[in-house]
Amino acid sequence: MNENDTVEPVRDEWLGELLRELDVPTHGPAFHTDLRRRLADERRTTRRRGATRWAVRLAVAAAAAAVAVAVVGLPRGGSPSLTGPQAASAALVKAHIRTALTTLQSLSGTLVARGPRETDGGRWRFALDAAGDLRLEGPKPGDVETYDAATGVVRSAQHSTSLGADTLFYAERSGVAPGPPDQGPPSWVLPEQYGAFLRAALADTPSSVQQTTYAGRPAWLLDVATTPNTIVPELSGDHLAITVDRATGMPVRIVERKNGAVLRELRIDDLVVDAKLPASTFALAFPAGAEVMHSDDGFERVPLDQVAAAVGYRPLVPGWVPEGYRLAEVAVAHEATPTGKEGDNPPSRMVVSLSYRRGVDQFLVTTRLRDDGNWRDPLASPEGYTDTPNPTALTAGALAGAQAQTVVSAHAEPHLWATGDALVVTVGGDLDRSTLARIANSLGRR
Amino acid sequence: MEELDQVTLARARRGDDAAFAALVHHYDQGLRALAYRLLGDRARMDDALQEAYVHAYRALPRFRGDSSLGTWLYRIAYNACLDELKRTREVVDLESVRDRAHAAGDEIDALSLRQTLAAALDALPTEDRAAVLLVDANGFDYRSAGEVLGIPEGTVASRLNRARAALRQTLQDERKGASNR
Repeated sequence: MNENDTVEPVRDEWLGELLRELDVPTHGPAFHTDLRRRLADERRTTRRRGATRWAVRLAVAAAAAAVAVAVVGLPRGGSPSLTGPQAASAALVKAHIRTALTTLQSLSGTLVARGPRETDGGRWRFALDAAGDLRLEGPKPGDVETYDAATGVVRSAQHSTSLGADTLFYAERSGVAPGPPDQGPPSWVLPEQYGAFLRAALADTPSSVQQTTYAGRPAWLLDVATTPNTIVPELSGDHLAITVDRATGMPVRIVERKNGAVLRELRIDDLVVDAKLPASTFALAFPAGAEVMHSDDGFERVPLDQVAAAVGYRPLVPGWVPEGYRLAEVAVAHEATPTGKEGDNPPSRMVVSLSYRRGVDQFLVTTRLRDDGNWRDPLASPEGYTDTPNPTALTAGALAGAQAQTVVSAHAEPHLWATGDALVVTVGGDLDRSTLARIANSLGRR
Repeated sequence: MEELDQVTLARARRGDDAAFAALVHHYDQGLRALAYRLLGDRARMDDALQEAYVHAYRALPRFRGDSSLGTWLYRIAYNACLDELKRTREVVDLESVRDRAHAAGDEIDALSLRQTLAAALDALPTEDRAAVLLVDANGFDYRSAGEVLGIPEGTVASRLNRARAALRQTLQDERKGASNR
């Protein structure tokens, strides 16, 4: 990133320095004693559960990447490809999406990020496969996190600057939900941007597609005009330049600009598509005698025909799914952490989560008891963003007559949610509005 | 504002006392500065932050991680301060505070720049004060400050403009007064 490419200052540094010099008292002598006592009281009365909720699933970013691959014409499976400077038509884009998503089986490489804030930068090695397994390494040497989709277990070895900079902490998190709105497997810190950028690229037709070279390899360069975030315009660009490796079809570099100045750069080095990854890629063995912190999110993998016995109601299962998707995971939980923008929904009880996969893409159908609570969108965009849901009348299937809300946003995965007589239902994944509605209209008791 | 690392956060979510203590330690200085400047009293600052930390401890398992932990924690603390202001039913007498600020200007020989700034800060409405503390002193961007304060980014900007203008004017007056003396 060019040193001159800076974000316009939004802070009064001189005033800030003076304000920070103002005297601030320490706590009173009883503060920490009182706090410890009150927290101990809380512990006695609160059932605590491991509840790591990660910003955005890696799979979402990967799926978005796969979609972007399709946008520019991944030369696989006889798909048409762009051979010169031209814009991709919507029909061409859709054709490539279908082709790419059904064939992508694995991705690995190194993600390198740079941005206006110190926390925006870093390097991560990653690998993921079509089963949903993943492995992340970094940003510090020795930091590793793995997810085994078949068992729903996350294992990690990570450094903690607050608890001891040179010490690795080991953790095993079992019973992990297949994905949102429940606490899914780990994601990167950064692919949230990666996925959002690529979604933005998808939402707008590239204004130009040019041939170029990247790292000495033939590539396409897409220029995409985007709408800056209205809440944080100073940190949100108005153009994306996406470089796509022609041999693999993967986006290998994304540059976000604001008024011509670079805000962020994300790039993937050493990308490998569809390599056969050994099973050990997604395994993490702890050293003998290591202290391991265990937690259980409460989701259990069960066969579909045992769901009703586990949760006390017959699950809602799609009678139709888009071509190529298959039911990959079925998980149930008697209790899960609350959903919603700030976890402000009622407790999730008797949850059923069905994960459908096609290549590295995934969508989920979830149900949970409605009880008497006041429910808001379980898959709402993160804090600080405002969704604009579209009312969607469901006319068929088990939810016929219900009014659903559909949200398609760059800040959350596209989704539909509705409350039935007894259940709260979500359908979420990188799908378009009509597909979300069609799946919802096909839901039936199994 | 440097964020707490993910491992400590994950452990704190799972009820690890040492990790939660690390979390408190990590953010406490900034939260004290905000609470003290909003409430103007150490005992009230402590009361508000006790409530904030207990609330955070209770809600941490539901923290989605979509906004930063710092933003989330500051929002809890800011709300606790507002509750504290309501609870104690103390009506801020803006006129008297402004008088204090002006007095500070009159007695500039005896007062430091910081005291003048502190008095001018006290004279601001709570909302404007919080905005300038979050953005200029604590390094929040507008979006995050808006999340903390529960207002749109544009409103953050307008509050900041107002607050900065008032503070700079006071400091400018003080400098003029000092040079004339």
